[in-house]
Amino acid sequence: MVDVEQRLRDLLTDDHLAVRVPAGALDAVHAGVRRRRRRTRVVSAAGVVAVAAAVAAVVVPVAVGRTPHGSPGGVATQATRTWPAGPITPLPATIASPAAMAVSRGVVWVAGPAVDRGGNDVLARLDTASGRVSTTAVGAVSDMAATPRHLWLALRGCTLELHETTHGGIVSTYPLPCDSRAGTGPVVTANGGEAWVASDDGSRTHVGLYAVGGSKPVAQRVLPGRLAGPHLLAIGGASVYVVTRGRGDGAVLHQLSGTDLRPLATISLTSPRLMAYGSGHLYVADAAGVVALAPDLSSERSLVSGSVTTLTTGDNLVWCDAVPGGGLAGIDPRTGKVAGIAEVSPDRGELLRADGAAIWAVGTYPGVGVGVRSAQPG
Amino acid sequence: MNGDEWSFDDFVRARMPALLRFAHALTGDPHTAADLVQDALERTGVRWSKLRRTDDPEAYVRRAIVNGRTSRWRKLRRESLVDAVPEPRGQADPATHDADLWRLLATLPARQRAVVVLRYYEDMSEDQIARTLGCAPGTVKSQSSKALAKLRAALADDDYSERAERKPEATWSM
Repeated sequence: MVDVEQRLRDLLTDDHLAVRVPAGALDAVHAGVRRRRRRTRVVSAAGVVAVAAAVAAVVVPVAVGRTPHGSPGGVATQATRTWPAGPITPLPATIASPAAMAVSRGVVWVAGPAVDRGGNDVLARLDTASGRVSTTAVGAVSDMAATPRHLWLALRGCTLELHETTHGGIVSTYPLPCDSRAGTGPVVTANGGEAWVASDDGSRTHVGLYAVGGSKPVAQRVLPGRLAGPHLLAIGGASVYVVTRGRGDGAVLHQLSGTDLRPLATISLTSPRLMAYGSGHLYVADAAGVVALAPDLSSERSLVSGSVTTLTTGDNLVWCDAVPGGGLAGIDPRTGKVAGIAEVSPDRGELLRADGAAIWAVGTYPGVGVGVRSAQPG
Repeated sequence: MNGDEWSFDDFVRARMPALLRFAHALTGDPHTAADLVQDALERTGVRWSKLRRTDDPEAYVRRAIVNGRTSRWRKLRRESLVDAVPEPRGQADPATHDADLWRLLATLPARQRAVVVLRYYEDMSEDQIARTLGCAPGTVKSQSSKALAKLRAALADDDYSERAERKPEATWSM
């Protein structure tokens, strides 16, 4: 029998223990260092104010029934910056109202029912650098996801369309296993040349992985229970996360391998509404607030207390509408405190997405109609 | 970007793969490893100008990873209700050639696992491990001894179980 010490050396120097350096890891480290330095400077310079703020960080959340760790940070305990909203770029009046949006590298995609086309949607593309807007007619869009070169459209008619964004046009279409009458239409998220789709067939949830250039799904997985909602699919950390309905108000969060959809873990949730992945954690919002889950679902901690209607991640912040007085709060997930406020209006039905340091909003604005605006660090 | 940041940048680029591997061995999970390394490098970056002159930066990062792992382990010991029994974890259990030992390593307390990883992966002496973990060399010795004894006992049990399972076939053959 080989001695345990030699076996330990062999095991711990085995190539299988190598971990690929995550994309953007270096930038994330530098961003984290800058954030920590900012905090240090603020604490040093603010003196008594900082002490008062620290006290408020404990006292105020407790006073409104929140745990200190799960505070939305309505108090300025961190260097709170403002992301002022820019001017509104109007979209063509053929869109009755925005139903779905996607953003990738300064290109904003908006889909919504056409004013004069029954059953069809209008898809608008706004190049924010040039301000140029173009539109095309598409089927009824349930959800969409953009990458720099492609746009994936999940249609309520149970079809997935892959559009090429440079020249326009449909590259591929794939039938989706779903019930077009299901309350929750198919949902999609994408990264690189791949897309992950979840659809509801009326009794079960189908998850599919599709790749650019493929004629059929790379992998498929059927999960028990119906799809729990339109905002409950996320990818991150080489995994895909999807929520299915459980018993009563219950739901089940599934972690699947992002490469072959192999089940990795499941946990139970109560009435989840929104989900997003960022900064190495999965964030889930329910009626009580937002929790941050470890990527392997082994642990959770409260990030925000109180109901939220919007949840998105970007630039190492978690954005949600948890701050009294409106606006979208950018919360530093490491401290649970508000680092910035974007001056947009999720309470007025704006659809919101983070793209790098910017927050993009699509809404129906008085005197403008359907339009796009962004909030950037001031 | 000043000179400090350039050299920190070089340090991160050069050492991140090794630190991720170290954290993976320490935690058994690549996701947690990435989190711990990110956090430890951020702490290092904030103190970089001091660390690069007065200390061994990599030792500081390793210490931060080990401490982060220990505090995380304390915080996160909680039970999650599951709807169904999850299938075996793919990434958390890499296809090592010694799966039994990998599984047993996960059963060691955080401090004992840290000692084992620093000793048999980083090839550190007891004094170096003691400095990294911030404890006495005697503690390292006892923790190492306990960990090895536990692993040996568990592996011996496994061997016995395997022999016991094979034995009836040999007994009943005519």
